[in-house]
Amino acid sequence: MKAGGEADDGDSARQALCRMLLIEDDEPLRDRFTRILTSWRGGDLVAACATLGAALGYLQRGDIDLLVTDLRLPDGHGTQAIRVLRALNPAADAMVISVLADESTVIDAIEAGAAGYLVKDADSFELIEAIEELRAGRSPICPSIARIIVRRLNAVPSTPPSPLAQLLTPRETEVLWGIAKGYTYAELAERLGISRQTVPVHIKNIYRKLEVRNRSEAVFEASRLGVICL
Amino acid sequence: MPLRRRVSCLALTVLLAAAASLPLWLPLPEPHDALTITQADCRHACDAPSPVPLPLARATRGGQTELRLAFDLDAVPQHPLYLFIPMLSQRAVVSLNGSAIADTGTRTQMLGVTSGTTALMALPAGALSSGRNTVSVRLRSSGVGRGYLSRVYIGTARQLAPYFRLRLFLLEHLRLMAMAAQLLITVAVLVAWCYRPREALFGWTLLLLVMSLPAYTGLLIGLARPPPHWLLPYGFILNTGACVVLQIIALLVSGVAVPWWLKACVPVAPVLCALAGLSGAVSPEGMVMALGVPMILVAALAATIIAAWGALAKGVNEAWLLLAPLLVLLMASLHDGAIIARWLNGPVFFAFYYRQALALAIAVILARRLGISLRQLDDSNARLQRRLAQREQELSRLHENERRKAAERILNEERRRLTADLHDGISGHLASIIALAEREHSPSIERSAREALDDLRAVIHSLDIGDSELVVALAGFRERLERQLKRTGIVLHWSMAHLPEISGVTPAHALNVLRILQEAVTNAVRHGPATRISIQGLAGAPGRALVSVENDGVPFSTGGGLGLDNMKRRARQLGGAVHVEAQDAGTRVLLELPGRLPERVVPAGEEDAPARVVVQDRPPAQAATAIGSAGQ
Repeated sequence: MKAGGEADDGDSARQALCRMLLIEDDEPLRDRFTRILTSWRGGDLVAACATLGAALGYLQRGDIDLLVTDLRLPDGHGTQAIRVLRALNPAADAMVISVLADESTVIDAIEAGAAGYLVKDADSFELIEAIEELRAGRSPICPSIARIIVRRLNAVPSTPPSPLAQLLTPRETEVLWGIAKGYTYAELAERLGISRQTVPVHIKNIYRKLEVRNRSEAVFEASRLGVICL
Repeated sequence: MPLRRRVSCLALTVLLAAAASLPLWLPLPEPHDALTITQADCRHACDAPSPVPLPLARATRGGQTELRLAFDLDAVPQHPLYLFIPMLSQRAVVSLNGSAIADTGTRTQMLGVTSGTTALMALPAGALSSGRNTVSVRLRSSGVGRGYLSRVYIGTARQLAPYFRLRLFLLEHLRLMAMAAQLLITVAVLVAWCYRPREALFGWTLLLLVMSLPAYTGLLIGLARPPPHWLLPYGFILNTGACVVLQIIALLVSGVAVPWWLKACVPVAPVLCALAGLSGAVSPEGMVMALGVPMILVAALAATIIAAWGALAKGVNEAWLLLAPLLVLLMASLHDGAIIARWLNGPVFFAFYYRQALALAIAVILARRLGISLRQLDDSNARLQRRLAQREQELSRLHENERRKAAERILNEERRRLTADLHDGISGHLASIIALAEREHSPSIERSAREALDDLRAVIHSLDIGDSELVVALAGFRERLERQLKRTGIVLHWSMAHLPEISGVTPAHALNVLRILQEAVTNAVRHGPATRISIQGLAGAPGRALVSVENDGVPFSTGGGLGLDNMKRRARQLGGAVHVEAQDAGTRVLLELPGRLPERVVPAGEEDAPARVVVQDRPPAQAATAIGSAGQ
C-alpha cells in the first residue's frame, strides 16, 4: 500500500531530502503520519506501508535514510525491518512508533538499531522535531526508557558487570540516571556542566552501543527475509 | 616467650628444686629432752671392741654387727621407759642387759633393698637396773645397703612418740602411698591408652609405670611365706628397661622420632642383665651393683639431657614439665648411687619416693594433651557451628532472595502481559481514535481519547514503580504533562530537586499521587485560565514532603467540589493531606506526604468518606473537557 504522494519530486531536491519509509498497519494512524511526514519540507516520504512485506521491497533498494515503523505488524515485527535497514545502510536511522513508549519492546527495537521513538498520539510538531533532532545526531529518550536501560545495566549486582555497563562511559551512565530521575535535558546539562545539545548526542551514542553489535545477526535476518542474498 | 613468663617459670623451677631437695639438707627433728646415746662399742665378728660415734654406717655383708650402747640410771623410774632408734638399717635385734627385748624384723616389712626404718620399743622395768645398763643392737643388712644405726634415745612415751610417728609416716606409710599412687596412675593411664591407643605417649607411659612397679617388691615381699628374697634383684633389674622407656618418653615429649634400636633396648637390657644373673656369671647382687645401678644412672642422665635439649633448644613446653621431675629423679638416683657406693652415709633410698614425681609429671603431660585436644575439639566444634549458622543464614537469605525473585518474576510477567494486552488493545484503539478524530475534525473526541490514553499511560507506568521510586513516577508524569500543556499553550515550571526522599512507595501509592497532581492541574486549567503552572517538590515539616501545584489563574474561591474531595480522599489514603490556598493571583494546591507511605492503602470504607465515593472514583470527565476547552 502506497501513500507516498511526493515520491516523484524533483531530482535536485531529492538529493538533499531525507528519504523516509513509514510502516504502520492502522489505517487512520498511517494516514495521520503520512500527512505529518509529507508536510515536512526536509523529507521525502518514499512510501507508507501497512505490512512488513511491502516495506521490505523499498528497504531492498538501500536508499532509505529514515525508517519510521510500528512494532507489531500483521506479517512480522518492526524490529525486523530495522535490522534489515541497518544491515543494508548503516548510516540510516530508524524510529519506532509505539503507543506507550515505555515497554521493553522499545528496548528490543533499540537493540535492533532504532535510535528514536515516537508515541502514536504525538502532535505533528513533536514528530517533526524528533525527526530533525535524530537527523542532527541527537536522540530522544524518556525517563521510563532510561530507567529500563539503567536497570539492564545493573541487572544483578553479584554477577560481574555486564559488557554493556563497561561499554558506556561514566558520563553516559550519569546522563541515563539523570533522565531516569526525571531531569530535563536542560537541567541535566546544567548539573553535568555540559551543553543542552550534548545530552541527546550522548543518548544517541547510548542507543548505538545498545544496538546488538554482532552484525551477522542482522545480516542473517535480512537474508532470511529474502532482502539480501548471501 | 615473654620475659615475665620466663622469670616466673624460673622462680617456680627454683622453688620446686628447693622443695624436692628438702630431704637432702633438712634433717628430721630429734627428741631434745630425752637421754641421748651418741656412742657405741662396736663388736664386729672379727674386730676387737672399739668405741665408735653414732650415727654409724658399716658394712655387714655376710654377717652382722653388734653395737653396745651404755647408759646410766640413778634409779629405776616408776613410769615405763622406751628406747627410740630414729633410723636403722636394716634389721636390728635389741637386748637389754642381756635379755632380748625386740627384733625389728618381726614387725616391719620394710626390708630388702628399700632399707631404712625406725623403731620404738619399751624397756621392761624388770630388766632395768639402777646404775649402768647396756643395750645391745645387732644390726643386719642386705648386700646393697650398709648397716646403719643413728643416735639412740631413751625416754618416756610422751617424749619419744611424736618423733617415732613422724618417721614411721615418712619411712613406711609414705612409701606405701607412693606405691599406691603409682598403681592409681597406672590404672588411669591404662584406661586412657585403651581409649586412645593412637597416642604413643600413653602406651610408653603405661609401659614405664608397669615395668617400674616390681621395684616395690621389697615392700611386699615380707607378706609371702617364705619371703622370696631371691626375687628382689630381678625386680630391680626390670628398672633398667623402664629407664630406657624413660628416654623414649623424653624423645616423644621433645617431638623427636624414636630410633628403633632404643625401642629394642627396652626388653633387651633387663633380659641381658637377668641372663647374666641366672647364668651364674655374676651374683644377683653383683648384677644389681655392676649392671643395674650404673645403667639406671646413665639412662636417667640421658633422659634428663634429652628433656633439657627439648626444653631449651627446641622450646617444647612439655619438655619443661618432664625436665623438672627428671632432674629431681637424677638427684635422687645420684644420692642412692652414692649410698650404695658408700660415698654417703644414709639408709634411705630416695628414688622410690621421687619416681612418683616423674609419674605425676607424665600424667600432667597426658592430661594437658587431653585437655588441649578437647579444647581444640571445642574450638573446631564452635567454628563448625559458626560456619553452619552462617551457611544456614546464607541459605535462608538465598531462599528468601529466590522467593522474592520468583514473586517479582510473576509480578513482572503479569505486568508485561497486562501492558502487552493494553498496548495491543485499548491503547492502539485510542491512538487510532485520536487519528480518526483529527481527520474528522472532532476535537472533543480527540481530546477525550488523548486524556484516556494519558490516564492509561499513568496506570501502566505506575505498575512497576518500586520503593523510593516516586521520583521516577513523577518524571513520567512530567513528560506526559509537558506534552499535554504544550498543546494548550500553558507554561510548565517543574522542580523536584528539593523533594525529600519518600519510601514505602507502591504502584497504588504512585498512581494516587499522580491522580492528585493531575486533578490539581486539571482544576488549574478549568477554573482559572492559567498561563503558567508551577509544580515543585519541597521539604515540609520534619519527615514530611510537600508537592506544591501553583497556577496564575483566578484565585480559588469555592469550598471544594467533586475534584477537591477526590484529591483529599486520595491524600488521606497516602497518610497525607491536601490544602488549597487562594493567592493574590492564582491558586496553590499543597499535597503533604509522610516520609514513609503507609504499608497498604487505607480502604475507602474505613474512613469518614462521603457517600459519594463511588461517583467520585470515576475519572473526571469534566476535567478532560476543561483542558480541551482551555486549549482552544
